[in-house]
Amino acid sequence: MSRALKFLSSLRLTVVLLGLGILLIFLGTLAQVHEGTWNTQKIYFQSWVITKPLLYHRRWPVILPGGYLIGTVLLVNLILAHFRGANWGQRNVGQVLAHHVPLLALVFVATWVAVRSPFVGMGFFIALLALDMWISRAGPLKDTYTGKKLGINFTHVGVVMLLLGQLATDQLAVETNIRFREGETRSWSEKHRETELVFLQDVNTAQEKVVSIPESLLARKGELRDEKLPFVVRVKEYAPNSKLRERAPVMDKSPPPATQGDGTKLTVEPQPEVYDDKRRNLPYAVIELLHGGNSLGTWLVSILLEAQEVKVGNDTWRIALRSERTYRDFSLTLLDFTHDVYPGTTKPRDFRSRVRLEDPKTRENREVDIFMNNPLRYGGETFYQSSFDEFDPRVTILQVVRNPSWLTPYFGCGAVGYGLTRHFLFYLIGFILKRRSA
Amino acid sequence: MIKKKLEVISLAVVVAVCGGCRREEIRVYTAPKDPSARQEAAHHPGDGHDHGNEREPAPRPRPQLTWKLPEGWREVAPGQMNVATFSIRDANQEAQVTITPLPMLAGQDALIVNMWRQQVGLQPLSNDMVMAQLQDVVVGGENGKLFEVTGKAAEGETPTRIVTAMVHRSDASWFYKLSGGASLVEAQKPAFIEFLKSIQIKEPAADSQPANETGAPKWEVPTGWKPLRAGPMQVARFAVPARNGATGEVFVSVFPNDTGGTLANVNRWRGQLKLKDVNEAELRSLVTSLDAALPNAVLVDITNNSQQLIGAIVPRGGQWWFYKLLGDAAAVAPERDNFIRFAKSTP
Repeated sequence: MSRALKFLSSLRLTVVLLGLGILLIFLGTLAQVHEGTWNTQKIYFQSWVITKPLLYHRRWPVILPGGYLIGTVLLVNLILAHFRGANWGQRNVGQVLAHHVPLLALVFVATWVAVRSPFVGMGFFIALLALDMWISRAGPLKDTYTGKKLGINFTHVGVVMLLLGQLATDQLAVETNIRFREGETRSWSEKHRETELVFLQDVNTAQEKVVSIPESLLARKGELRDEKLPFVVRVKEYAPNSKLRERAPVMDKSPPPATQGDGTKLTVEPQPEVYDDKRRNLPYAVIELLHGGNSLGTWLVSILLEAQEVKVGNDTWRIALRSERTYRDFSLTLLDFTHDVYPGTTKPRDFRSRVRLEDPKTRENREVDIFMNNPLRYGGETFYQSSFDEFDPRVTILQVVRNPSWLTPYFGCGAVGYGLTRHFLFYLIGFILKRRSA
Repeated sequence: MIKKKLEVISLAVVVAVCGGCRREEIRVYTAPKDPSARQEAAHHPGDGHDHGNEREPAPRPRPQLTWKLPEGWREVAPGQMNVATFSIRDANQEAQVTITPLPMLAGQDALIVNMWRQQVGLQPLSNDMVMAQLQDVVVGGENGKLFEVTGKAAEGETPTRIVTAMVHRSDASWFYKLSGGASLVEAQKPAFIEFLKSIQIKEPAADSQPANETGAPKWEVPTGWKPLRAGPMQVARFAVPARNGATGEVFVSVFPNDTGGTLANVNRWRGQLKLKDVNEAELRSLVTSLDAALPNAVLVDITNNSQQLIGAIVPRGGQWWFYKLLGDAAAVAPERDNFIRFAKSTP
């Protein structure tokens, strides 16, 4: 085994990585004071390296390993350590696989059952453990294969699943929210932080064509083209946060930010980005539309402004900068929202939304109550009762989470739990049997 | 052989982690249209309203102001935040005088001065330096403070000068601001000081208080209307019952003057429904009398596509009450009679 592989699979590296992980969590917790929860998550845990961390009001000139780097090396270390020292030649691989694989599959099944019905799942786990112990200690495998390390192996599999599950969640999970009033229907949800520049054109009285340009492309500025757009979009200005106000005729002597639309009456000032959870950034952009090489004018778009019309020949388009949307085939209508607090306090006791779920594809049409710890799971998404509007008792806010790997942490914890319990019981039973025979 | 396999495993893990990066690209799709803009039209950015989450008390009725207009000054339609605006012009320059009451600014003189300094491109001053610059001034027999700022100007341009008098009263902080080209403002400053002296403040009559002893208006709210948090400059706000997804809201404001008259207000409301302005002649066909018992009280009903606005302007006890029912026509139209009864009822 080469020196590099020895190093990568060493226990020392594991200890160092766990130490770095603890340090990362500690620093990440401190960093939330200045960076806010969302930004800290990005900088510390969803990154490879952290450069010049902002702690205690100053930037420290150091480079630290980020969450992805620690996690990846830990994953490699764990997998390689499992193979290190294994003497495959002396084992009956077929027998090992015949025992390990079905058992692991049954552990996953028991976990899945436990997610839905905790007591039934727990019973499943206990029955599985008893059967496994009998097979390994007293049953058909007692003389040929003891499964001494099976508990440790399952624990490692579980930890690997936790690491990969978190990675999958980071990459695949999408969190959005729906904010609507009683009586309103929504077939879309919005991202809290990301915005999109949209060009809208009526298709018929009920539908519109949407050409959506993500904020990350706006931030690069320059020219943007799409075959569905009759014009080229030139991004002249962009800022992730801004302040917008009406132009004061005497005070504002510089030309307005745009030659067309609302921007002719407004003044915009870029602002530093905010990261705390109670405020949001108000991005803006000044765009120029070019049709056939000629400029149609410039428009100011901001998340605070409504859609503005642009005429190109006989076509009418609307431009808007809005929170990035995700549309679905089904809709939710808020029928009723109730928000109860503990008497004499503003502490929420119960807040729940009664919604009507309508899906034309499946012909689903039913009323559902969504409240704390009772989300709606539909179409691969989970709708949680998230918040409410402090000043409008008719408005509810639902958090929508699409996470294809949402079961992975459960499976990981199931495998770790089973592995540790099995390891303990295996040696306990062995000890008891030894004493008896002595 | 095993070594190679292990190296491949390590590499595969790293590639799998790196490969998850998402790409950003332009998306094209067809989607259902949004329900048209509703109440937002009544409360949009730049309208001078505060969009923060601070809870503010409903405004008390304001005193009525009268003044002696200096020569060369012309009263123009006030902005949403102002109770009066005057325009002054000479051959080359323009200046403006505004009277603006703002709540909760007493004791924040340094903040106010620095806000105006920043507006003309000057650095903020410390509290002590601001206090040293404040001069005494008399506004309508009451003591106030006056300060001046002159901005920096590019070569060939006239710098902006602002002269502001402020009086912190129990109802609000009142700002009297003369701003414009430096030389014109300097020339108009004596007239501005005389104008401030000429102002007469008449406190609202006791019977015109909109609230009863408990602070809540006495009017009868129609069944089904849900009270909502009133925004700044509003006395009350209600949601009318939603009908098949259609919603509407009622807004009530009160001002010490007619804020520019019926034509200006009707055109402002028409603008909220994205309709063009009308002239005096066209206005007559749009406005009806609200109630024979309320002289000069008018009612207007405006519809554009699926949006409807029913507004009422009611002069009452030396004040002007503005009632507005705005939203989807399907929710607004059935509430018309309730709204009229509500607007007629004495608050």
